[in-house]
Amino acid sequence: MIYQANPFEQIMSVLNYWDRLFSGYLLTIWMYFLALAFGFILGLFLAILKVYGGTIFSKFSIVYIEIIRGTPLVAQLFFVFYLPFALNLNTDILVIRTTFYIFDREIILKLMSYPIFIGILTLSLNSGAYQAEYIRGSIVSVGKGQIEAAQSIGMSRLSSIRHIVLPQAFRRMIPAWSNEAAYLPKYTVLVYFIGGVEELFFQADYIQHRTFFPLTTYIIVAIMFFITISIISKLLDFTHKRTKIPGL
Amino acid sequence: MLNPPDKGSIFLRGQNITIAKVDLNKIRTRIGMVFQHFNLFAHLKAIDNVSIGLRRVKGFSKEEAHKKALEALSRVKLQDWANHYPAELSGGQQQRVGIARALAMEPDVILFDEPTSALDPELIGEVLQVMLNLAKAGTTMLVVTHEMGFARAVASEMIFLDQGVVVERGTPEHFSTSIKSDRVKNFLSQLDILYGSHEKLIKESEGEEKI
Repeated sequence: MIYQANPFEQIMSVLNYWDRLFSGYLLTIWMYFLALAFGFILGLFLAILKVYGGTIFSKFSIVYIEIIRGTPLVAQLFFVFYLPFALNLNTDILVIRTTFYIFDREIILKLMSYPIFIGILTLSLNSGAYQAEYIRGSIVSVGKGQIEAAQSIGMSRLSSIRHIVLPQAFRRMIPAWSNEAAYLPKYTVLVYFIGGVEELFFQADYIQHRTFFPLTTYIIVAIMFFITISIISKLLDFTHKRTKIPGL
Repeated sequence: MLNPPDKGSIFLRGQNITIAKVDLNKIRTRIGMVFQHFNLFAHLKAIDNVSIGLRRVKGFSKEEAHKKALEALSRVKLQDWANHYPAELSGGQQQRVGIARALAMEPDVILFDEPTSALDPELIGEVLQVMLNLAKAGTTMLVVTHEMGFARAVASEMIFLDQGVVVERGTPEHFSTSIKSDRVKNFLSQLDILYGSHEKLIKESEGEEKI
């Protein structure tokens, strides 16, 4: 009979690679935050264009959003990854790499390289399209009366959007937008396909090949995602309650 | 000027504001607007609703804007409610904040778009009282309203519009004594039925039942 390690032994042998789980986790979170932030800026821009851009500029926004939403993220990743090669562009991007020690264990953390850059860029471009729709929905829900009132006291259109519409739209946006905030950590996993990004799934693959405990490895990785996303949800719920307008 | 006019021209203190080269944002600071549904900025306290125009449009400092906003709020007797959000105020109070917001910009004229028609009958009085005080203080106001009693008491000129067409215009005395058009007479008699003689309303509905 083949020797079968008991669950506790399996967990311990997977956790023995905690340094790799840790650096992979940090890279995943790093990509997630950057993509969410850049995606938000892009989404805000697209949403404003779609709502206030008139016939021409709103078309641009609509076409972009529909192309992104209508094609697979993996295809987008490959497209953005190979495009610079096809155009003979220089892909020697600045590499950021640090090593540090925790409990005498060397932790190697690569924060920027060509594939990581492509990963963050593509996730931002993708997330921006989805976030644009959340933001647009909340902008429209604020209602025309608010911008009319702002313009009635002489505020310019841009100033009305910035000081009157957006502060209200952002507050209303949080519950729906938390969807995107909860989706995106899991989408960073797809960067695995373009290779050379040592994020959590890359490390999980490495660990399961070393330990021969794929089930245990992936359950531990799943738990790490679960905890992270639960915290993000709670934080957003909290923010939503804190920014509530009194009386409403 | 929030809605571009179909045709015609508008003059403000002798200046044509319907020609292409005028800066509409500048013109709008000189025209106050009070909305039927108040349109207060929901995320701002009463005081900030009034002061935001001073700060963002007229470039006042925070303290100056606050001081002037408080003055405007006290003109509509809401200085004690300055730190409440619109959703915490009654309809009448909200509309008075709306008036203060227009007032603070010191416009040449204030437009009122049916300022009391979204209010409970009991709250209409406080808003009309505030408007009456403004009229006494010499503010130029253009009011669209169904409150005929108020209009007669305050107006220097009344214009009766039906489907966007001027039906009759004249002084308040003209409207209480020598109305010419049947359309206006009919409107006033309807008001009379609603607010005055209920017997007539009851009689009319009985009449319909018999048929």
